[in-house]
Amino acid sequence: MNDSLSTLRRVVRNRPTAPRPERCEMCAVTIDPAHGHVVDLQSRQLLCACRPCYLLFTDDAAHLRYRAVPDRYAAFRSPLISWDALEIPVGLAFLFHNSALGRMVALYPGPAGATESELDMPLIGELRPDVEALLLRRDGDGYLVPIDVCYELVGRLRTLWRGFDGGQEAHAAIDEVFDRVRRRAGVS
Amino acid sequence: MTGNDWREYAARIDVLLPAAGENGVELVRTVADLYGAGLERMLELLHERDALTDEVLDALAGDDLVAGLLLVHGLHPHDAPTRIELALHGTGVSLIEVTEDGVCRLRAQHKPRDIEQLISSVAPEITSIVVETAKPLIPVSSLYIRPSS
Repeated sequence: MNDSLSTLRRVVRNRPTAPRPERCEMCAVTIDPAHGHVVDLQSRQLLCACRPCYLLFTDDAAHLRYRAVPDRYAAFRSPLISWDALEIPVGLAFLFHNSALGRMVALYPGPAGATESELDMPLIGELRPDVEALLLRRDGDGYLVPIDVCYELVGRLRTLWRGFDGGQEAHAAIDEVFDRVRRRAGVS
Repeated sequence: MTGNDWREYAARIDVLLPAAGENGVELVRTVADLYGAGLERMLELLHERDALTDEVLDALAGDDLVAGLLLVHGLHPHDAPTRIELALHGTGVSLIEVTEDGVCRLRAQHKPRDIEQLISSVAPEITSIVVETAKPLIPVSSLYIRPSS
């Protein structure tokens, strides 16, 4: 038999045993799994960053393209927000101040990733624009969290989502994230 | 794509891959995984509808391109001993067994050339090859030698 496909076979069979180390997306040094992120305000993408690159963008007042995502968690209960007013079909959403649009934006998770919902509400002053979010659940839990936590959750839910409301695995993932957030926010 | 064009694609991969770097290799692997998942799904759907008759399976196994791709993804319809025996046909080498840990034991008069390549092209899951060269119970040459004692 002709052995034309030996290269392809080798590539598919020989998988790297250790996962490739993550790298800073700004300067390419190897970084720990527990690294910080910066938001690219133009593309609204989250970039993994090493500590030195992260620290370049921590000034809230600076007019820069990138902004470091802070590591702040807090319980948040606001009479401003009624769940029904959000008009979100699922029981989970996160809100943040999009500085490019100059308004609050609500995103909710689903099988295709995060879906944006039109939102007419005043800016929430406690939230740092673009980098902090209010993570909400229908049953009333509300937390101020770093926005990367929301995107991580959306990414995980996207792979787990089944049916209209997400299914069991998705709900377990949501519970897990809320447990972690609650601990970080110092709420028992 | 007609005839043997696919061999040119395969040859192109051989040329491009060494220069592709770590990310390139990972991309190739990921795309191959995607297509492998598609092939597997296709076979499942056909199987559920009883479409994978012996005749169809033999046709798939008998096509170099299809069989080659199925081997890449571990989806070949024939098991390793069957594939090896078929490939060894007419070579004067016979298969003794394929052990559980993937050792292929062969019997031959002398170790055939390029046997590793032949086996790995039809059974990439084989981890090593042992060729046992059969010796007559009493070597003929010994009959002509008078023991010194």
